[in-house]
Amino acid sequence: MEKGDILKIKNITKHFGGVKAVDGVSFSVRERQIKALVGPNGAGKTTLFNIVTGLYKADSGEIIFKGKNLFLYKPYKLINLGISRTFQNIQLIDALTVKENIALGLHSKIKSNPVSIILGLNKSHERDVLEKVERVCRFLKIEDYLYKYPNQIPFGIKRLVEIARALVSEPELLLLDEPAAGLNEDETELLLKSIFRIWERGISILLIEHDMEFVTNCSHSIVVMDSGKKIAEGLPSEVMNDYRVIKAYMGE
Amino acid sequence: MKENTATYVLIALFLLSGFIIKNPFILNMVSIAALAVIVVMGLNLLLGYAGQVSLGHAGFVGLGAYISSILAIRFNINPWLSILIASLLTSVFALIIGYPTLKLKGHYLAMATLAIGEIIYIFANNLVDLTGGHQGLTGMPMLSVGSFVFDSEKKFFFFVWIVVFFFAFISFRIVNSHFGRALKAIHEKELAALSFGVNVHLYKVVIFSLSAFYAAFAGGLYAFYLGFISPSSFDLLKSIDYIVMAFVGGIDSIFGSLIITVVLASLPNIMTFLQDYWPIVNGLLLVIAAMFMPKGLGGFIKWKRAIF
Ligand SMILES: Nc1ncnc2c1ncn2[C@@H]1O[C@H](COP(=O)(O)OP(=O)(O)O)[C@@H](O)[C@H]1O
Ligand SMILES: [Mg+2]
Repeated sequence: MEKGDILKIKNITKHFGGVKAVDGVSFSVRERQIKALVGPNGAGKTTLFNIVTGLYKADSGEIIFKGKNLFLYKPYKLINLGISRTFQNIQLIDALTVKENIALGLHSKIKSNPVSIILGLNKSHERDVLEKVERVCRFLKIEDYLYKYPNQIPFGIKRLVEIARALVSEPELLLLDEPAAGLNEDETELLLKSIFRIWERGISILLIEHDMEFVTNCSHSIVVMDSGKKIAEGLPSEVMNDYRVIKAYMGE
Repeated sequence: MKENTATYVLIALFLLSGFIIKNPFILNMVSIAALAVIVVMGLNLLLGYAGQVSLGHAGFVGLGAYISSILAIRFNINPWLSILIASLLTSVFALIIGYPTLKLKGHYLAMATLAIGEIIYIFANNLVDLTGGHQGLTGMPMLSVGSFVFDSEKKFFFFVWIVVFFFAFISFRIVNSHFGRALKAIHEKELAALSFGVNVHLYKVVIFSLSAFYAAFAGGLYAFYLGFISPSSFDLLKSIDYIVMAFVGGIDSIFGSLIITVVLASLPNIMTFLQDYWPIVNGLLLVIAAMFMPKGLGGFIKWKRAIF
């Protein structure tokens, strides 16, 4: 493993029937780096995320996180290793309040079984949970929405709640799938600031985005995918000038 | 008022009604309905929180009833202990069969649980030496504490509502914990639950097993209260009754299910002319509920903001 790489994606391939959604993609995320994964719709970005987080099984390849082969872990164990994510199509639980949704992010940290719950011995855990949830909400400035349900809050706030839920477990690597999609200008601005503040806390970020401008504003390094393949990688300025990248975007 | 407070108040009202109601027929009817409430509360956890369906829950009620009765009659084990052992055995049984079954989804899970219920029913019918077959089983001793014997409808009525309170208490403790949050997440967004560290399959199996415990415990009480059980009390139609009660009450509403279960379990006894047509009435109720209150009575109340 190259020193300083927190995540190494090695030669990942994934088919869905006849569709090659991801085709031999390799790249790394360095520690404390904001790395962007860009590409037109259907390029295979989300599929790659789902493979990293164990929701899909790759046909071939390897994913190494801090020296550990992720394919040896059950999907629900990954959050304990320090990987957490958000979803492109928001996956908040409608039956839970914002507070409870974010608390779900701490699920793996709570050690109490049904018996101790019935006996009410989980009270102190729940207090810790609430404290952590409140802290992350203050950090993202969404503390006003704690006791609202997802269908009672604006779309931009939903995106932030998703990020709060991913952040509350204090991951080392945060995966954000199109966090700016559907946001207006102000919300995007706020999101950008939040992403920097998360990064300042020492968290590495891999971010999917198809808006090039957003990405060039916030990332240290960019990987471009098109039709399942990696077609470019480098600094934002380099990638922006790359002929193939322009073609992939214009061709759409 | 919060749902748990409202539910405890309701249970207290039922309990207190025992001081007013003199008619043993009604006391008996509402006691049997209270046992159904326990089964449906277990089903609520499974259906409304974990989002898994079981068409075999009457089978678990039957297991609790038969195992506890046989333990008490054949092995002279104390009735209370028999009920506890039977409930634990049934939940272990559910754990073992739930492990492979709960990997199935939707229709397949419904079919598998239906088959489990039928298999239990067939065993109850055919293991004549042990169960008395279709003639039924009798000879259970009465429930008692020291020299206090539950030998009247009234005594059992008070007791069973206290038991209902305990099961409601357990349900609310679970629902309002991280365990409950995980169940709701599984119900709505299984992949999100997985991503945040919920061992989805384990949770489904545990809640299936817990709901089987509720069912078996109610079955055990039923057996010792009536002193007679036969397979027809635990057949597929009964499983469907429980499902309808849970749906019409609101699958994730313990409060709504409590009210609806008492009503639906009592109705065929009050309107005896309905008895033969009950499956049809049940079906109609389900359709009407699906059309006018898809989230059941509980969802309807929440929507009206009357109580919660
Ligand atoms: N679960 C799935 N089943 C079948 N095809 C899928 C599935 N997920 C993604 N795909 C296909 O894989 C390709 C890549 O999709 P995706 O990873 O969502 O792209 P992106 O996130 O870059 O827009 C698309 O052609 C899509 O239709
Ligand atoms: Mg995508």
